[in-house]
Amino acid sequence: MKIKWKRNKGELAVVVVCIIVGYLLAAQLRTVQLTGAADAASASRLETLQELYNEQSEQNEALEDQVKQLQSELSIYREQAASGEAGSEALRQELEQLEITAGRTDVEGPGVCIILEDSTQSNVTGNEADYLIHDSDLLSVVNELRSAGAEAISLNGERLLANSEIRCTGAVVTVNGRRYAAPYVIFAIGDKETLYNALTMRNGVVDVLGQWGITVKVTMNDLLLIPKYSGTVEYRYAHTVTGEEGNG
Amino acid sequence: MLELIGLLCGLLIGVLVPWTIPAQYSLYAAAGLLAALDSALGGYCARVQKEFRLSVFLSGTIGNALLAVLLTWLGEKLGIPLYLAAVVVFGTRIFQNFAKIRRELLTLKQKRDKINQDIVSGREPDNK
Repeated sequence: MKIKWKRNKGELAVVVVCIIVGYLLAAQLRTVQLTGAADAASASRLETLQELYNEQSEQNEALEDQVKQLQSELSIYREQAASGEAGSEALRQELEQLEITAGRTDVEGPGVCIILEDSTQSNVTGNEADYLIHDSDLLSVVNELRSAGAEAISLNGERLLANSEIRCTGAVVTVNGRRYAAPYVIFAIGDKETLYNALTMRNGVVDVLGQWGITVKVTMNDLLLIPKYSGTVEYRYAHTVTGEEGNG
Repeated sequence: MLELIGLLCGLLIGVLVPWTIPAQYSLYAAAGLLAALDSALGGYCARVQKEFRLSVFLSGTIGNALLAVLLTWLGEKLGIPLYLAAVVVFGTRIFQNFAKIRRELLTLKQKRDKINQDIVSGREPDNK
């Protein structure tokens, strides 16, 4: 009897191990299947992303073409407006003004040229960042120019509009979504003497930056060319308020 | 026979239970699986040969599985696929055990016939 029971116990143990083997086998098979499927999915995902990327860049190109086309159309309209009746002259002038504001055309005129370079002084504070040009330095220069009545400003050839950003991105500065490194060249069209004096006044921007050894060269120029804004401005959220709604 | 039913039961549970082994533990489960498979075959083999001892079986099963998992873990830490050692050893043993079972089952009938023959011819059956 005892031998029989012992035998059964042995058999039971083997059966239990068999069950474990079966279970592990099934679970493992399913896991392997799942991970295999995941690998395949990631591979196909990569391809899908590549396709999407290609599609997007093609779309981008097409849109750029469209922008060019529309701009040429616009110039045709402008010419038509100019050659039209006297009443349209006012419209044309307004259009020109707005286009300068919107950065749609290259502009030229007298103004100042500012070149900012990182400090050449030996580092005494131990903080390297003190001797580099920051986005805030550029912003204070641009702010000063605007305050002095600059009509058009560009930074390293990038037209600064009402919605342009000057933002620190690591060692470089992002302007209109493009990255620029020192030296920074700022063109500003306006009354050149006013602009020059606004920048170089005592305790002004140039004075303060000079204390850190940052070289700021300001020169007056008779003719500066500022290129148009390379991107397009889109308004998705802001809408013009119409009529009665505005009173509310 | 009962072992086969057990295996099927396990497979069924594995298929029906929605819980799966996370991908990062897949290797450990595979090593444990091989160890368990080896133990199951070894246990069956011992039972067929009537040399089965529960303590040996249980210690072997648990010990081998733990060692296989440990080797896998160590291999992962060292950057050497040490689990291959477990794979090779258990793989070899599975074949060996299978061979033993095969021989035992195939010669079972011959042995029985011999014993019967011995009884019929009036001699004492020798238990070799």
